[in-house]
Amino acid sequence: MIRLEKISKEYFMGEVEIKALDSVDLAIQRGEFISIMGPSGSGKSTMLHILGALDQPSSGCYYLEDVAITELSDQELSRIRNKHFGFIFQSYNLFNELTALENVTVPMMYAKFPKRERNELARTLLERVGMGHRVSHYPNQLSGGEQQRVAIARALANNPTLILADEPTGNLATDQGEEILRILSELNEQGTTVVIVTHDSKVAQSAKRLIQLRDGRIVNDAPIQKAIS
Amino acid sequence: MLFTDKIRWAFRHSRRRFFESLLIVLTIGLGISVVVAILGLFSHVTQQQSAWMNDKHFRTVQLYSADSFRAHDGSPLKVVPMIEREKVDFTLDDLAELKNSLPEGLFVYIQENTMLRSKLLAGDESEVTISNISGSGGVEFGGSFSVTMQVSEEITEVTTEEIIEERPSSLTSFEDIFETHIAINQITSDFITFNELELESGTWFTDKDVDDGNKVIVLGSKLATQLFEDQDPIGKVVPLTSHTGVEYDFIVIGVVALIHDDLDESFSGMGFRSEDYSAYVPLTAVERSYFESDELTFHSISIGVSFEWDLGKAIEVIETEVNRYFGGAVVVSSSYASQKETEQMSKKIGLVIGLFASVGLVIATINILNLMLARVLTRTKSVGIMIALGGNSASIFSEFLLEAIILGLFGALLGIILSFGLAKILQLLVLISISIKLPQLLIGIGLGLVVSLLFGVYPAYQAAKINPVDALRIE
Repeated sequence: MIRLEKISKEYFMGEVEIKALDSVDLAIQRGEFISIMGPSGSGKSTMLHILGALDQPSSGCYYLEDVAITELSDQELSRIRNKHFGFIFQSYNLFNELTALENVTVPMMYAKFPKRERNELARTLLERVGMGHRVSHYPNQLSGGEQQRVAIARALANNPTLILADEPTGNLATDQGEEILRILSELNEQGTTVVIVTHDSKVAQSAKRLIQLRDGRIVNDAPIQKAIS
Repeated sequence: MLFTDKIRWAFRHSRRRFFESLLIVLTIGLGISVVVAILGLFSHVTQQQSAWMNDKHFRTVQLYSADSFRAHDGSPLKVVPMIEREKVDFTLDDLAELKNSLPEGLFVYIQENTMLRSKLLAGDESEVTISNISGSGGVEFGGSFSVTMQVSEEITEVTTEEIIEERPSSLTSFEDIFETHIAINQITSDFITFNELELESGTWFTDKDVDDGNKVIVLGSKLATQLFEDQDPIGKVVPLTSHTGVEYDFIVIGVVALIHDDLDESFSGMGFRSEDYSAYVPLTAVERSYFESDELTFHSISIGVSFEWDLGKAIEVIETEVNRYFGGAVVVSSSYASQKETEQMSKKIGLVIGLFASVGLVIATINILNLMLARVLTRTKSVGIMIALGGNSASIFSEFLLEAIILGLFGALLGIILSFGLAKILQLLVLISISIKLPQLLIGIGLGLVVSLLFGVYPAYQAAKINPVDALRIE
């Protein structure tokens, strides 16, 4: 479903060139649950941004369903982000001025869903993550775990091909974090492809495949059991 | 994003920073209100211009002897000295010559006004005489009028008030004059053509009547009724007494159709009566006043400019011809120059105020641009999220710009409302008339749009340039 071929990403910090990704090859199949692990500066965030079409690689090719998305225009990329990817961030990144329901409808707004339809869908999605009772609450009225659940519902809004989660439990208490991982696992079991970027090995273990990054290279890529052994 | 969603989104953001948005709207509104009010002032001036351009009084040019004429160009500060020249008296030959040499559409005539006592009105025993008022009275555009009083060889301009205060003791009031006298227009034929005077019955006198000084009279509609009530006035005799006491019998040959059916006698106390109460006789039919020389000469010649002529152009043509014919001894006087001056003065004042308002608006725009840039900065992370959820630089640009446009339009709306208030205040305080109509309102809205684009485009562009990866890193 997703193929990265010799993806490299360099950027400059002042005058120093930093190689965030160095000729990375990667294939992701439909229905996978992948953890990308690595220490700070290993390139895992860059990897997530490139996977989510938020950033362009310096070289290499990125194929999504055999379409080379490195070649696409800004507008086409935005459509792909909207339709194919659902993002979950460490700090939830909800719009504070919008209610839980409205936050979930934003991706559908970009997909030009009529208001009634997207409100109904958003309600269903919020119920699916156990937030059906908090639809009219604003982010600052919700706990961290609740906010992240709203963010998950928002990530699911356009029935994406891939959910990209960047340290989704990083700001949460253990029990809330576990709840989020449980929801993500559940989603994966229902067929959604999930990629989690984390530096927490416990979190990484909830996935089925673990990719370890160091200095912009993949140093290990194996199913979870093997990785542990 | 659907357009309606974009608008809703923009409103939400503006509401979130309500006070700031309110200030922006207020600033734009104040600026636009002043501009719209000034446009209204211009529009009023232009309307007045077209009104006076279509007024026959303003389209009449007078020729005077340069010796007695103090040039008046509408500038209140300029003192123009009397020109020492030989006096020119106009003759009927001059009239004929000018008539021949001026192109078509320019009506050359002589008009003199006088009040003549009529036995029909006064009865034989009346003591009232006003032999010393004659000459050409005219309404000046300020609203007051002046009557040229011939007291001696000199001609003195006096105002109504002065006349009322200093009138000869034999006169009690204008009301009394109108009770015993008829306002007589002594005219030549082009006066009739230029003023398009229609007849209710009978005929006009001819050039020959003017040449021969025939004692024929055409009555104003109300005068005819006053004199003869229900009888047919045509062929009736109107006795008139000249200034020298000579009595004439004028024969009525026509009645002018009613001109003002809405004016009554009430303003006769001001020294004027509706034209419907006056009569018209050939210029030469009545003996002149004591002060005239024996020769048949006149103070002024009038030239009526028909509507097919541009007034300014016509005056140029007339000046050229008059200079050729009289060689600078005669001046061409019209309200045109002074009216133009007044008009240009109000336009200049308007322009200066407009300039100040525009500078104010530009300063406001720069301030608002600053505020909008700050908004973009505080929403950098939001922009990153929007891009992650499906936005792109074009959609971000349009969302921010729309927000600015909505603020601008609300500002314009407020400006329009305020401009009506401003117009009222100006009308009350300084008596400036302002007419705000659809074009001014559209310009106001257009200005709101332009201003919002001025302060909206750059911040929107900055927002569109935000790199989502960097934006999402902001905590």
